[in-house]
Amino acid sequence: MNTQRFWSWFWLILGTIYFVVPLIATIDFSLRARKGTLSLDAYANIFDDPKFFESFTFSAVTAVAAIALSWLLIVPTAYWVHLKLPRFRPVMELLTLLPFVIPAVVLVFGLIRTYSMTLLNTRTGGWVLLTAAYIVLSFPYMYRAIDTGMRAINIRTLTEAAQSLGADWQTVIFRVIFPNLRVALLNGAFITFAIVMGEFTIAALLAQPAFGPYMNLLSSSKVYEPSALAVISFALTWGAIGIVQLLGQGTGQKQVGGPR
Amino acid sequence: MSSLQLNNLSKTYAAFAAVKGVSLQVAAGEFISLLGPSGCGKTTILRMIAGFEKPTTGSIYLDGREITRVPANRRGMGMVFQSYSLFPHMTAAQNVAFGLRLKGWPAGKQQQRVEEMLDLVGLAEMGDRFPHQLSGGQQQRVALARALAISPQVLLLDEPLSALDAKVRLQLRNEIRRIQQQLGITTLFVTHDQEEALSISDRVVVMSQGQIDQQGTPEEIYLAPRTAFTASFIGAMNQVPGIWEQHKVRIATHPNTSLPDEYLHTLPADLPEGTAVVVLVRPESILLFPPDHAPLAGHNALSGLITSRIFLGSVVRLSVLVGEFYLNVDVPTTEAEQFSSGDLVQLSFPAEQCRVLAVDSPAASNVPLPVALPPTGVSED
Ligand SMILES: Nc1ncnc2c1ncn2[C@@H]1O[C@H](COP(=O)(O)OP(=O)(O)OP(=O)(O)O)[C@@H](O)[C@H]1O
Ligand SMILES: [Mg+2]
Repeated sequence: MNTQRFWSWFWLILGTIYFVVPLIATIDFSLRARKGTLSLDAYANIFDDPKFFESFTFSAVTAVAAIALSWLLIVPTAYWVHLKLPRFRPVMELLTLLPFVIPAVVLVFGLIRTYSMTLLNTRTGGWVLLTAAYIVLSFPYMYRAIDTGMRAINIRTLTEAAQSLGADWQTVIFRVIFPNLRVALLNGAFITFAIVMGEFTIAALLAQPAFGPYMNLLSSSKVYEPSALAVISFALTWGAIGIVQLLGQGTGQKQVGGPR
Repeated sequence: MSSLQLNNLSKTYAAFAAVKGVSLQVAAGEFISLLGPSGCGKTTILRMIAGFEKPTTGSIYLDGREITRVPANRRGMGMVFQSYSLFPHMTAAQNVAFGLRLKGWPAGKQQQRVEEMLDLVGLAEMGDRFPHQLSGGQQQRVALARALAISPQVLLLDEPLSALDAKVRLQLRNEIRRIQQQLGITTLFVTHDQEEALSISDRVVVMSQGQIDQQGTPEEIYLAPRTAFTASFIGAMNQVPGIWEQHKVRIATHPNTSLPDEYLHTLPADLPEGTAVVVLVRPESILLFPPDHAPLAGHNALSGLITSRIFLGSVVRLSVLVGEFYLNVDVPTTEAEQFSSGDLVQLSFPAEQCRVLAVDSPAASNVPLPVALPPTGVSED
């Protein structure tokens, strides 16, 4: 019993060190831009760089677009599979593995080869392709989050109850299914956001002014700024988690206490 | 108020026939129970009426208008489900208002209707609660209010009480009946609980294996079952196998029987001589006397040995071995003290309490004949 306790503490502390030490080191390093003292110079340099805001906004907008489109694509699909094609579920699960199996480089060269003469000739076209690629990348996470959310509510009964009250398919999906998947949708959205903000390969190969390539550029040309940028991304990530938690609080309990 | 008509309705899943040629006429304002064991197709019928399931064959008419192919959201059927079906993200009041909102009612009228409906189901104070803040019984009340709010043509209830505890169940079923009568709404109620069906219905439809076995008023179903299945499904029923001979039943049992008379007298039946039959007699129809008691006029008298007693509350059910088979006899608890296991008794029951059914009728063959099976259950000894 006691040795068991010891080892659980041991692993916990080891894990904490593993995650926290590099973080502290990064923060510490990012504060040493001015010789001899701690300063926020590196941060100031980043916030002074218009490229930072441009690329950050670009990626954030792309992320939001990817999230909205994934919701619209995946919720009705997962809903339909749950309701009408439960036998199709293993196939869906297999499909969700494809983005893990196919490396991003392969995906992006496929896209370039296919669309180089059409979509990629325009600025918007490139952005559309990038968004589409991000939907593919985040598909496994989004689908699984939504699938889990749907298991937690009684999809069939809720659908039929709504139908008997006069609801058509759109009404069922947007007024009954979507609101009850709030937590699942936010979870999926958060992961998608994180993936898009940090993605480098696809954005770089499609020559898009995204945040990932900007970070890469910065780290090859500056000393302290990349660390500051890492800390900023980290803070943004945790901020996003916090927002998800906050938004999810109201509905979380309702889902648990809903139809059993 | 609308009438409903099912014409030769069938539903086949892959190779499995869940519902086989069901025809049923429901009059406007009538309360009908579909009663039957698990898996007999009750829910499937209800789902076809609601429009959630397409019939394989057959048709459905509402007020004489065919609705077989009308989508569920345009049928105007109110439905209450077995599992809790309230929208978890809406309050009770919002749930009730859902159908009205879809119909485009103005907010003021909606609110008035919601209050009226919540009041009807006795939850006037609970409109602001979310489903997870309501008990199971309260959730089903809100579900009922929600279904009734849109003034449905027909109310469909699929075992709405089965998830509730016995006391709430009893209370809510009486309330469902009260509300149904108050609104005069045509209602189809699905249950596998015979007491529930008998106590609140205008008419009971007994189902077995996807078909209607028998339908009638609760009294008809209870007192005059026409099939062995209905007889055994509704209430406790003794079934004595025998042969129809000269307008009475020769009991098929071992030759060296201890029966004083090997014939049972029954209600008249129009059966050919020599038909294999079962005699149906309710446990509460049988009187017990000391073995040497003079047989009553017009009664069948059999002698038997009490083998076990089961306390059921208001009655004690005695299992009595007669020749080769057991008969259950219900004795009021207040009079049960005089009988104990091992006593020899005379069983006496009037001929007009005995019905005869031919064994080879299709419904009867569903039921294994209860010949010499000892009773199950917790015995006192
Ligand atoms: N979607 C389906 N696919 C295949 N078989 C089905 C389907 N739905 C129902 N069945 C079968 O049809 C039969 C009737 O089902 P139904 O749900 O109507 O029974 P029920 O009388 O309502 O039973 P219970 O009292 O248990 O609810 C069952 O044997 C069931 O297994
Ligand atoms: Mg059922």
